[in-house]
Amino acid sequence: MPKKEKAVKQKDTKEVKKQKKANKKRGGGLNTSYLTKMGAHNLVANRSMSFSSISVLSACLLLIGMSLIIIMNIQNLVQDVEKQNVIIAFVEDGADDASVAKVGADLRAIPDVIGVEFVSKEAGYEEQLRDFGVERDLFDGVIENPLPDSYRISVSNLENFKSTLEQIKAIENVSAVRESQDVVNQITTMQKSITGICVILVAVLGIVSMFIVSNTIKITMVSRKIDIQVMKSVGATSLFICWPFMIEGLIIGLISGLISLIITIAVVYFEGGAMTSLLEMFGSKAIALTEYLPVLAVAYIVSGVVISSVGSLVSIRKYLKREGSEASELV
Amino acid sequence: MIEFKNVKMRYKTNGAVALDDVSVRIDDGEFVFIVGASGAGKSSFLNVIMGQEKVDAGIVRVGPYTLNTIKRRQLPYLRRMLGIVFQDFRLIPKMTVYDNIAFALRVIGMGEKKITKRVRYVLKLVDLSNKANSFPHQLSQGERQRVAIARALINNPGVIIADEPTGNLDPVLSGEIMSLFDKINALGATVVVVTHDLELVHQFDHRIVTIENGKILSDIPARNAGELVFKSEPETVQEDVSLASVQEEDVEVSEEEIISTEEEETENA
Ligand SMILES: Nc1ncnc2c1ncn2[C@@H]1O[C@H](COP(=O)(O)OP(=O)(O)O)[C@@H](O)[C@H]1O
Ligand SMILES: [Mg+2]
Repeated sequence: MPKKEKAVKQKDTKEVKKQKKANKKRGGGLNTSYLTKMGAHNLVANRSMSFSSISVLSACLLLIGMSLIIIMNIQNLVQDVEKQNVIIAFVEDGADDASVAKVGADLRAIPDVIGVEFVSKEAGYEEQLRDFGVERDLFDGVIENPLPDSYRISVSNLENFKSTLEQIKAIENVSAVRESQDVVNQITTMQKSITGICVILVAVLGIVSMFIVSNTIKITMVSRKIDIQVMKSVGATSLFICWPFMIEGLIIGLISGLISLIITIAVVYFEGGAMTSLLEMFGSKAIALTEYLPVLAVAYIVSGVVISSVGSLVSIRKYLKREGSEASELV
Repeated sequence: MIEFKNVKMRYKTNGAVALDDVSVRIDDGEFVFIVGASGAGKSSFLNVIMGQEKVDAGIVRVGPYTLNTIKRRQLPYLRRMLGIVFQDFRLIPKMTVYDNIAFALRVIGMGEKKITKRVRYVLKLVDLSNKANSFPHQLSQGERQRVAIARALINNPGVIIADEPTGNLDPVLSGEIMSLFDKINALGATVVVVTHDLELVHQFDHRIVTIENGKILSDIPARNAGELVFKSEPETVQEDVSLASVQEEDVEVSEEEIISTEEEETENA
């Protein structure tokens, strides 16, 4: 008996192949242009659903995009701060040239130190006077240059700032160190928390919008459920039934991506000043929109399309799977 | 060939037993009436044939497929062999009459030009040429029924299964539709007509299977069935004018296509 069943099964698959071949002979495969038109038509026919899907998806994409812009700017800010000479090490006054050179070499040997620049007594003094806006001649002979030789040090990995600082202080002939640890601390904690919040926000929004889009599409399923059952009963394949839904999802995603992009450009263009002044407080500046516009455009459109296509597939899947009385039970 | 062997089917949703130990065999080219009271299990019998409901016991074979083990992705191909007229018509409300009928051809990937030709032809057959652009809700019950019939015929299927196809038609139209089925049967297709209209059944000399409470009560072959009943001049109905005029014009195309479909099917057998 089991042997016989097996034989029947094998015959079946051969028959199916022949049938598929016969179907091809009759007219060919999928009428994609018809199905695509049908998807676009459904989009218009269910316009209130399309409208709410697009609104929700645009809002979510917008928040995702803004989060990404904030993350990028903070990353940029941190890099800027790293680039600045945040530590100045003063050499013991009266140290000989060899000792001064040795301090430079010792500094370069510290792992997180990425740049060391020597500033002579004279140069440092001149610079400081210039900063105060006074002519040197005015003070010449009146006050003696109070500054020792110094090194300007740039460091990377701000999270290790404290230990790097200790290492610098420990070098022989370093008399004093000027640093801006408070600023560094502020920036690193800010970076960590904002990046964390944004990443969570992006993930949550992605899932939430997928859920909402799939639910919005599900609302129209009450009427489409009947259509799907009819389509199946006249021999439509799952791909044939899915295609218009995929097109619908694709167009919704595309439109939402474009809307978000336009709003983002407008916001950055008109309201970008706030961010710029905030960043300027830390001696950085906002990344120019043009720098990340292509990436943002691709990100918006790709995530819009993926979110809404997956959303519509999720909502149609079970209607494809169930047959007859089981399908009519679905809500 | 459609074959049921000791089939039992109950709806999982409410536990209603719809078919109970049903064994029946319908050979290629046969014309069979399935009769029985409302709730007897006639529609359920069709639901099993088209693979919409799974059976709980027994074996079901339809053409090359064994439905007990059929895979979900094979179902569309099973259904394309069958032209089904559903009791509730199953038309898509948003689609025009034309699109509803054309849909069955788009599903198999036929080109639009061929589709237009075929749809025009079957619309004439069911006398609905002037309703091509109407939507189902704009039609009478009888017109909807004829759309459902047109869609079942459009694909030149080897098997026609009609669930109460004349339930909403007046006697003249019923007769026309039945003789249309007769004609298609004469061209080689298997025809299964479900009905509770015994008067209509008795106008023809075909095999009659009676179902009651999900069981086969009787199965009377054609000649006996004819002897059992009083024949009420089926000839006059078949000679109806409107149908004859349509066939004269277009029947060549249809016969050719039916025959070519046949060849494919025998190739498969
Ligand atoms: N979709 C369904 N879900 C549950 N029970 C059903 C369903 N369709 C039919 N039934 C039950 O199955 C039995 C047979 O029904 P059906 O096959 O529709 O009868 P008929 O077509 O002969 O009038 C009835 O008892 C009916 O209540
Ligand atoms: Mg019924």
